[in-house]
Amino acid sequence: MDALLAAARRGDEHAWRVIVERYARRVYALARSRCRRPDLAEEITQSVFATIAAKLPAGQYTEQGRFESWLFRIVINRIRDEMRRARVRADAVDPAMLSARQAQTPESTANDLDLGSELARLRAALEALSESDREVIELRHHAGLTFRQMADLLNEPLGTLLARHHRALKKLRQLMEATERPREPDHERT
Amino acid sequence: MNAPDQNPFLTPRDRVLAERLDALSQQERAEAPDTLAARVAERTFPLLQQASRREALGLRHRGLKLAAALAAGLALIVGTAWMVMHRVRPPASIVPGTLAALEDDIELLLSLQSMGQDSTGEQIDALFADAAAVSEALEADSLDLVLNGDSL
Repeated sequence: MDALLAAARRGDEHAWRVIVERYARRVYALARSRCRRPDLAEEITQSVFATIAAKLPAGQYTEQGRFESWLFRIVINRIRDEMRRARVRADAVDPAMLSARQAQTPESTANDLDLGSELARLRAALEALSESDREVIELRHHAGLTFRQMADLLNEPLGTLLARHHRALKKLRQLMEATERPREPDHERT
Repeated sequence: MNAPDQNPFLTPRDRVLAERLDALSQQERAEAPDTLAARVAERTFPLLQQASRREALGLRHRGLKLAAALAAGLALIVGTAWMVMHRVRPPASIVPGTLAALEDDIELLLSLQSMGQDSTGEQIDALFADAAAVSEALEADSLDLVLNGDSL
């Protein structure tokens, strides 16, 4: 990776394409998970790589071997700016409101049907999490970062981050269970 | 999990949920437009090129500045060494002689100036004296004519 970055820093087009190819979808997935708008996610992806392109040759990437942490720090900052601008906040909601909210989510029609009901419910529950819990989950699962990289990025001890991830998953599971429809017992079907 | 490490705090039920989250993220990555990376690379490459050229130019400028500073330093060292080797004394040793010569020159100039001023004054005084003498002579001649009653 360092060789690729060095080549890109010198203006090598092939190296740059390989880097973008390697990370564009991860950046897009994280941005889309947060914004829920494909057009905005694409805009954020492009803007992030534009920032990288401007900063990389200027020697502003100084954390050797930590490119992913650096890249996703830029992504997170860009997403936060966008969220602030759009005043879209993923506030925690009452689990009882979740079903109604799921129906109101702009992309919860066609796209969510494609995802399958299980993943659509997971998506809706994720949106109901607090900003902090959601960030940990999305960095881990959408951006695909290791816990060490996340600790670097969020400037937190590894143990704290592992506990945060565990807590966030627990809350997510509770939200999922709260919206789960109780199954009818078999004997009632007859 | 996407990343190779694991969270040791997770229960089996948490792990199932984590796997579902991974599946969700895979779905969302797959939903990215096929040409996304190519388009992003194409649009951002000119920026990379520009920044890369600017950086190369900056490095060249920095190199020139460094070379100029080194050359100036070298010239100073060589100059100092040459002066030491040739025992060139600082200008302070010739100051008294120069000052004495300068004083003589100034005195000469002042005396010349005062001489010039004196002769001019004397010439003016002489002119005034001559003018007064002529005037007195004329007055005396006209009185004699009146007193003696001579007519022309």
